[in-house]
Amino acid sequence: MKKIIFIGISLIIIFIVIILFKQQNIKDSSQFLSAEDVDKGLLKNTKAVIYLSTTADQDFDNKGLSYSVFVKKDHSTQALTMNGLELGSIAVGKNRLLLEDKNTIRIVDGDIKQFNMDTPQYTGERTGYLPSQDLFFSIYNSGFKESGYNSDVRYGNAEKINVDSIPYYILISGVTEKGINILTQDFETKTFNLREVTFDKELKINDITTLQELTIDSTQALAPILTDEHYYYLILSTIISESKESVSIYRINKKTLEQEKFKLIEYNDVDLTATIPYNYKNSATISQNKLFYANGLGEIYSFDLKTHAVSKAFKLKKASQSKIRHNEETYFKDGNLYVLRYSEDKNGYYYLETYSLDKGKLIDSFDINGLDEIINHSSSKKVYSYDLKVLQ
Amino acid sequence: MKKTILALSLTTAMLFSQASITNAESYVDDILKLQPDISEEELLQDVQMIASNTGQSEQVILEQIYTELKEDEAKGIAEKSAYSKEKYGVSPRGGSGGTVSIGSSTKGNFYYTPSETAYLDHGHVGMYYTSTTIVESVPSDGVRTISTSARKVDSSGSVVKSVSTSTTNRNNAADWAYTQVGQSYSYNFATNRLTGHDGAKNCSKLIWSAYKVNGNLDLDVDGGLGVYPRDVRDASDTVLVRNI
Repeated sequence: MKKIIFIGISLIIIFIVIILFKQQNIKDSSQFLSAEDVDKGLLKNTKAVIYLSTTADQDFDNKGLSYSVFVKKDHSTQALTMNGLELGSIAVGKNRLLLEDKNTIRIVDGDIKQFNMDTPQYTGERTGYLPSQDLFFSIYNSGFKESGYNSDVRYGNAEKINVDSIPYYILISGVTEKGINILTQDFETKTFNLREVTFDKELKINDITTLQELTIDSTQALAPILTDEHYYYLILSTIISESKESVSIYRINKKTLEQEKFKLIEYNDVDLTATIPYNYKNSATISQNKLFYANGLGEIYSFDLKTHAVSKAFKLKKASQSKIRHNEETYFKDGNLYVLRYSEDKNGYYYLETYSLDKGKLIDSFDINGLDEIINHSSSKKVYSYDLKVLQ
Repeated sequence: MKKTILALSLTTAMLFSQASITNAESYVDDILKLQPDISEEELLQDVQMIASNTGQSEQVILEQIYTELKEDEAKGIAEKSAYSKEKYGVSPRGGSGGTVSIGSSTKGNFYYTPSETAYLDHGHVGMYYTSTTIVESVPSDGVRTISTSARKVDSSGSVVKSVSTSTTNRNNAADWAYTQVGQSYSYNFATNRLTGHDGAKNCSKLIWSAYKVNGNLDLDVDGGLGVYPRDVRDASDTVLVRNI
């Protein structure tokens, strides 16, 4: 009798273990994509893409990892697992995406075209898409080589990816229809130079001008370089002390190269770390003759391009005033500000808000399902958000 | 009787000698378990070099290395446990990364953050080359620069500290650290006080050497053969600027 009970209990336990194992596998297989799973339906059904990665130091065992997380229209998530790239990002082209990791470029169209790179990169700077040439690019903070400082560049399309280098340390950059604007920082000459990078058969660097009035020891870039028809705009700050900072807009005339400075924000007796944007590479845009800047306190400032008037346009709802972050991201597109938010009151913790820049208010919000599980999926590595792109 | 005494003495000596070899081998194994990215050959070469320079036996040096590593490990475990009790406590299993920008500070200051990069929670340190640019040595990438807005860490246990010395020393130390950008990463914490200032180096060695070469400061709370990130953080010549 005892034997029968023992065998029965054992069978039940084995049965439960098998069921749990299968359920886990089903959950994993549906949430994590392989390259073969990527088809035309994926991009059609994707609302936004989030890039998560381990930091460079976690690649010590060659097992650093990153995820391109596809947030679907039904608010579910699926992740494509890749190698790691700290500060990596995603570029959006015409119905295509560029995904990257330390040694791979992937162009996602109907399927994935994968290019393996010879030289690994560990720190990203910016990715983008130049519609005039139908060309993707990614720039990296590669560091010193024998010839001096290098920011390596990978560029191309689904047919070929080329590799070249920009011989400068890049403080901040921005993308236009035709090229990339970069602000380079030279610690030896103590200068900041605005330059343009174009791809006419090969990579070309055109010097634009040297920025005046900037001190090498205390200048901080807070937003991507923006442009309109007549000007370049840079949002830079001067650190005055541990709790005092002055944020300004530097405007440079494209023809005359005249430089003007407009005060944007003065922080006094503030925890300056809390004011740093959620993602300083995606923290500003130009829309309807106004420049908008989103700081780390959830305040969106506007600068009227004609009258030069500065105002606090609106605030994110329930924005934290703390420096503590939870993978928040911002992204401007088509007159809207999209914000990846976190709340412990939400079931899935993460949600995506849409604010109208014109109306200055929240117009949409939905909870993202499964992002927290992806962020915490690895038991040995930790990933952090580095980019948000909204596709539709 | 004499023969018996001689035989006993030889047996005892052999036993002690055998025990000593076994101890040394055991220390080597234990050290390599704590620092698996350095090879046995590298470790023994370093130990031989130190023994030759100091006149100490290799056995004593191995014991000291092991003791320092175990002490650092114990400190890491205790601090990790303390962080996990904090509201925003996050396990440092994810290397030196996080979600909080380290923010700006004065040239020559440094930051410390819990980090489990080289298998152990050694912690991580990086130096302010300018008030908005960090120079640091990280596994994989080596010595690099990164903006203080881009460099994010876990806030629990992370601090910014200054070094009590002249502005000239602080500036020179930061400038020296910048000259090391491009050097590869070294996983050898155990004997990094005795390796050369130039060449491959880990995060704590970078800052320790910067101030050793510029100002002759010894930013190591307990001396010994290895300088670990927490040794730099806790060095007597350092002052807390702020918690990150």
